Amino acid sequence: MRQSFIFLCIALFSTVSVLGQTSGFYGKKLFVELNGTGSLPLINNWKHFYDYYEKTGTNNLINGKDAVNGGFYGGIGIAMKQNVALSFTAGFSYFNTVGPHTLYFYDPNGNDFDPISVNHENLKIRSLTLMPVLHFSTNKSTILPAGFTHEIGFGVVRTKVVKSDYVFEGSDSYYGDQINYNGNYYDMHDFMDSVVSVNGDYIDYSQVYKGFTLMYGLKMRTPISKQLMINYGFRYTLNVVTSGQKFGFNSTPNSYETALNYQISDAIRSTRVLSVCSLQLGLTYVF
Amino acid sequence: MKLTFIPPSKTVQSILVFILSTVSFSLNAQQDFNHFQTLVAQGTISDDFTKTTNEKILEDKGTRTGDLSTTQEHVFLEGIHQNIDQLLHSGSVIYGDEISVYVQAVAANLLKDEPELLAQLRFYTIKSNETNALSTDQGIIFVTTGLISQLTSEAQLAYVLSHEIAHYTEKHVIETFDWKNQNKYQQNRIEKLSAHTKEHEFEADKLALKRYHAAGYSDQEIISTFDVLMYSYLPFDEVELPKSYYSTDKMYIPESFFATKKYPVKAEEDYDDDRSSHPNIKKRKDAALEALSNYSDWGKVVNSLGESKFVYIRNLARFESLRTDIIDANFGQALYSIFLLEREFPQSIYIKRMKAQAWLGLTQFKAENMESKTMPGVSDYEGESAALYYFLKKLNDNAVFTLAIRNVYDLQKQLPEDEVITGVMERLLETVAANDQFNISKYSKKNFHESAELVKMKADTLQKADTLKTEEQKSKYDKIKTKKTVGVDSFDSTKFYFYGLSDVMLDSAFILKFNEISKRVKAENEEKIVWSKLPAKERYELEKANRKEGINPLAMNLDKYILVQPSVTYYGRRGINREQSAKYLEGLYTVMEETSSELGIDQTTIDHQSLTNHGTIAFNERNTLYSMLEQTAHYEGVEIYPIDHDALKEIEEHYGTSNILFTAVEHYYDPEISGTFVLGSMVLFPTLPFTLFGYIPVKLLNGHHSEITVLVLNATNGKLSKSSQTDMRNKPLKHYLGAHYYQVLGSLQQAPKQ
Repeated sequence: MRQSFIFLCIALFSTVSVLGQTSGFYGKKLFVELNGTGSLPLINNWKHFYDYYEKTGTNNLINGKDAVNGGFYGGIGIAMKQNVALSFTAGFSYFNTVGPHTLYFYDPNGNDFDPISVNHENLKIRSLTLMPVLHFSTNKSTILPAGFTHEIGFGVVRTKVVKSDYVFEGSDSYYGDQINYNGNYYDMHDFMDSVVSVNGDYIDYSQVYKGFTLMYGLKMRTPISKQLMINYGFRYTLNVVTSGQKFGFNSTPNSYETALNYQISDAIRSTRVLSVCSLQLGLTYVF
Repeated sequence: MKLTFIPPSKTVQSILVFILSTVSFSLNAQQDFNHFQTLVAQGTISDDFTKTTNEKILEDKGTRTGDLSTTQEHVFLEGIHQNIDQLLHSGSVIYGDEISVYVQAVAANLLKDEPELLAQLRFYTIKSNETNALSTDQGIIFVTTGLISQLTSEAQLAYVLSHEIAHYTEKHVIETFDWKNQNKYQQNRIEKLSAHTKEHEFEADKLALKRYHAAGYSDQEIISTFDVLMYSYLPFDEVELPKSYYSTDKMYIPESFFATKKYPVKAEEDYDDDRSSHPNIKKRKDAALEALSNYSDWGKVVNSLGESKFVYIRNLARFESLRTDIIDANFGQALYSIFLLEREFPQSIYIKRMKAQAWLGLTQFKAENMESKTMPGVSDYEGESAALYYFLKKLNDNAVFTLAIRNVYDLQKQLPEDEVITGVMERLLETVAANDQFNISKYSKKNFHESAELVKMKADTLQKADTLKTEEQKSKYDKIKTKKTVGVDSFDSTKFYFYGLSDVMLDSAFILKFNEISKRVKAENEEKIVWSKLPAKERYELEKANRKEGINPLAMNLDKYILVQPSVTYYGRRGINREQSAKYLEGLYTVMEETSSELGIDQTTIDHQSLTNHGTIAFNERNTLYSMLEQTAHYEGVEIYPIDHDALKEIEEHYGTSNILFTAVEHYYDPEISGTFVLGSMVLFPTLPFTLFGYIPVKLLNGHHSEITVLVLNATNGKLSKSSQTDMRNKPLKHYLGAHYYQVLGSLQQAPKQ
């Protein structure tokens, strides 16, 4: 419009002071956020050597994929400057990872360790991430927390296998879903629980896979009122699991556990490192 | 003025039209040119001004489908209403004023046998020095003050109006639109379009003759109308400017500063019009002469409403042209027009004020090395006014400053109580005091001739400075002698200006005032930082330092302001998206109101809605404020002295504040994705993921640009108090805007740190 053109002319030749002193959205600098995250684990599905298995209603296993992964996190933050904010976030994210593909049992009849190839239901894993995040916008006119921001975070991650009644079956028809042990047939699941007992189960659910995460995100916060915003964006993460069982199979009875946990920690490490991108959607409340 | 009556019969209609025209005439009291006031809208505001563009489009929907398809009609209506509404609300258009009423009366005379047609038409005046008249598809005929100021008779105006009426009756606007649609991909489209519109012009000229002839106007005035158009780029009269106009007893100016030759008028009738919308003047004249012969029994009417009335109306337009020139910073042209009008109206306070303003403007632009923008370039020197431009161009900074002080000082002596002239003088002294070139101690208390005489007496061996010889006539030795230093006194005729304020230098009140202003200005200048002249990095560093020290550059203690017609322009793929613009404007209104209220700032709005609520008063107030804004824009950073001082004072008194806030938001989406960058990353393919998942999303999410400008102008002194411009990288959603305006208004509200 002509008026706008005139304004631009004046602004070009006049004392242009971009912004004043008051920072914060409507003068408010503190904010809390609650976000859901989701991702399609395309790389995980493509990269995994072993198959994923899903449990059907009748507890049979069928070939599957790692489905949509999700999670949520919350955070509290403060706008330090007009275009810079800092927040602390904590949240859980859930993934599927391939279950163990080989189980071992100790055969008292002579064969030390009998490997059983199994189709194991996907393991559900849960990561707790604690992360301080720096939010910034390269555009100095942005009034944080509203608008587009870059996010950079570095935090710690603790991953565990989620306790569940996982189903597995022998992939070899010779064994079927039962195992002959000392002339008795046992359900494989019950058998593993009894021969490898970690807190009463063959999977050590108390095992924490520690690691760290480096995050870069793009987030847009669109205000819908003076205090509430819808936020959405992407997060790119590099997740490294630094703890967990390394491969150390030997002929001692405890190696049942060692061998099993190696497979689990390897799967977790792999799943986490390959989970590089997620979408986020949530609400931001400023006060 | 829209005539909205339903006539029972043609005869009664004609009578009613006549009565209404006469009544309108008598309603407007004649202006006293010695106390001329700029023309303002009068009477009841019409729907053309109060209805929104959207309302007009909806109202007209389906009325053009006879000529266009439904889609085309929509595009057409959007186009005509947006463009014309922009003009109607530009601040330059007035209605019901004496010129508009006069034009209406001339049209009524032309259309005395076609009352239905007259009832469809509305006539408004545009305050512009362009010589133009235009008719719209909506039935509005605009006439510029520039056109009226150039005419020599009412008959010429009648011919122009008749031509514009023909454009309306023949639906030329819609026809051209249709032609453009049907010939989008033609080769040599511009030339073909030009041929098409030229046909319209010939047709309008031809049809114009019919009504003109029927109204009894004289055939003698037709060809001269084309002369008016042809020479309209020249001032409204050609009078030789005598040297004595500037070179006076008080201020002698050497001959060498005046042009020695005449500048011929170069306009030609038969220019190349291949790409013009109008045929050249020769073709139009020829066609008109041919058509003239089709009519016999020509009338004799030249001024049906009286010659004095025509001259009066033309003078209104000519007076108005001074104001327009000052707003547009055409100071050279303004000074020539002032010279022309002064001869007839030597006592006019308005002319004196405009003269003071013109000299102030010229001084300010000279001080900023922008004087070339205030008058035509040397290659455009034509006619008598060229002598003035030549003279002004010859003057150096000090000469302009001196002439300005000389003129404004004399005006102030004549009108010591005049607030405008006093204000202009103060601004003038501020300008020269801030300029390093100006040194008041160099000014002599003796005039040029007295000083020359003194030099002669002191220097026995020197010949008298031959001030009567031109520079060309002087020998090398004449020149040396003229410039030779004698004791403590030096005399250089080219520095004539140092002797041009001899009486002023003896005025102790003036010297006191100057010293006071000079002291203040110098102190202010030490503090003042011209941001626009700083490199970006320095500006950023300074802003950073300011923030660190808690200095708020916007702080001005704002507690009350007048918000003038905020605007949002939302550009879509096909230009301005009117619906989105209207939607976001609504948000902006809410935001401004809520934020001001939350911060405890008192806001009054003068906008489109005010026109419906308060009619013509609000319309005129808005026009006054727009004029101040336009003047500020044309002055390119130079602090204006407001052209409508009195009207602004009234507004200030009416609303109880001098803070006028203008704001505009302009949105466009441009993600600025660099093709080279993307291509480069494809070549260096390992970087491609960063481009795909980093660079491109960042650009896409960050591609919105909402340029927000906020200007606070002071109605009392016309100065730009504060301005803020931000490129907000979001859509202009209500709360993005809210947060931004909260910040800006909050900053403006703060008290400046001492």
